[in-house]
Amino acid sequence: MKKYLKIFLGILTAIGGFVDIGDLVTNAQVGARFGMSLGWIVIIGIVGICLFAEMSGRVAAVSGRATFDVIRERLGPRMGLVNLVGSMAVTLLTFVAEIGGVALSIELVSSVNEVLLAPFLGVMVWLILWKAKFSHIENVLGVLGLALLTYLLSLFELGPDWGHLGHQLVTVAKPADETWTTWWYYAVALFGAAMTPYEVFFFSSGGVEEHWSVEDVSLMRANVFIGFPLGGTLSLAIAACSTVVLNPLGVDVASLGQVGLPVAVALGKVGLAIAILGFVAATLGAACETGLSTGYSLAQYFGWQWGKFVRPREAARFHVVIAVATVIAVGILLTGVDPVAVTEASVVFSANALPLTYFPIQVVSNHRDYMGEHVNGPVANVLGSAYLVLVLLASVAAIPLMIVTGMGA
Amino acid sequence: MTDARGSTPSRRRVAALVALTAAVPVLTGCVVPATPDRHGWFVHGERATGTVVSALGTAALTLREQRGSDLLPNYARVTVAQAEEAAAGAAGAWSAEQPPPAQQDRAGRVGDILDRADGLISDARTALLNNDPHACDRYCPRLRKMSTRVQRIEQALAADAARVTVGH
Repeated sequence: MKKYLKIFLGILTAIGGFVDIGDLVTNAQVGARFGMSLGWIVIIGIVGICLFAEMSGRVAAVSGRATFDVIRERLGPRMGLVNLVGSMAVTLLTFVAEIGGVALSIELVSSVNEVLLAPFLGVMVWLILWKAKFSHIENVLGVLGLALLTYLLSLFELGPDWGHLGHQLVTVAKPADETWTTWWYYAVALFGAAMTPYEVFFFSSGGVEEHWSVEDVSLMRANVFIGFPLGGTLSLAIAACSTVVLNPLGVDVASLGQVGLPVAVALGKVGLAIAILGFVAATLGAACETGLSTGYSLAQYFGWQWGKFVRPREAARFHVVIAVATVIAVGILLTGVDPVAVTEASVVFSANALPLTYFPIQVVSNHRDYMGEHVNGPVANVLGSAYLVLVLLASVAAIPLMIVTGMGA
Repeated sequence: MTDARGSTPSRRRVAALVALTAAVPVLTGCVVPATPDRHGWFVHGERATGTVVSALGTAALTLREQRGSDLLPNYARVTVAQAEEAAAGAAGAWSAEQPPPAQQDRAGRVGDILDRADGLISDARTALLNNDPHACDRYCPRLRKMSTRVQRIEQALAADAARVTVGH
């Protein structure tokens, strides 16, 4: 019974913790501008993140070591360093966006400017990462993130033409007033938002934090193959709500307030309040995950003691990295930079860094010395290789598309 | 290491750099100032008007929901304030654009409309701040009408941008 409860809680937190500021903003933007015509990119992204999260989770469960740790040992310090620099830069940028997202969410109910909120939220995130237990961070914020289910309810309440939405979802088409370069730019951004590198590093490090072993592989797979797709459904629901409410009005999403309007239209004040709770939980949860991931990446690369499973005193350098990352993130937000613009940049740079993250994971998960009989099967390898081609294409296209389209303007 | 003429590679690099530095102002003086890029101007106009249409739509929707008490008061204020900020930014960016000579009058007319749209959103925000119970009755129809008007301008600019090739 306890085992089933554990699986159930794991799935719930995987659903509630799936969406972050990148998913919120990018899906709402795409729905408002392109309808559901890019929804299939989200589906491809969800399959991809499931595939590689399962590989990295399996590495953690079988070897008892997190991904970075194994990558450095297996591929050498140079390849490890390339992997570290690419993913660390993107994770830090995402950390800035997530703390900014929490600030924007609280601004919606307090009217206090997000720049003023940033230092307090930085201290709060740092305190959570310093004091709270790993399982508490993951479970509490993950379950509260389920408040975003309001988007699914809203979609049913709005009563859209399902046939029309479905047709858009399976058709590669763009609105007449948009260009194909902009369409592709958002396709790459959505793909980057769904496959953000920190998610796999956090997932595998979390496995080590929770002392996963080979017996936990089935629990891990339940989280990945049930929780992630259901979490991804929330992304699609956000895009669909934007399609139904904002697209006909010509609203181009540039603020978090606009992201919540469809819920207000469908469910009123109470629904909106729950959705804002979901915004706070999703962004705060992701801020904790990205904050921890900065510490995980660096500590695992240099072989320092890391993790929440030991006292802070025993993992001092790990906690110093987190504290420095928090100071940098708050410093960037204090310049008055728009967190939504940071989010847009972070998902594009995520796409850019994807091969650096996922190629080493596939290599390591095929290594018999670490994985024994649990190496990738043929399906995982074929799918993984196909996705490596996709992530390479997205990576090459991301920056040129960003420049040509002026960040999708 | 010295070549046949007795100069080292680093000296040659310095000489090339000096020559290049001297050539830049000379060549710059030989060209006439470029006229503003027409295609770019139309594209920037399309973006500015698109942003204002989005801001008008956001303000109208927020006011409508606020009338039905379906919004938290701070949420409505923040959302409309951000829409106003976006519209003001777009109108300001447009006024800083250098129009092609043949488009001077049009630039002024578009600029006036964008300023009026921004002013309208500002008035709507003030009504929200004052808890005006008739804010939507007073402003929603005007916001929608203005949105339609700016949308037409956006479409015209988009059509012109498509007609004019890049760099002309």
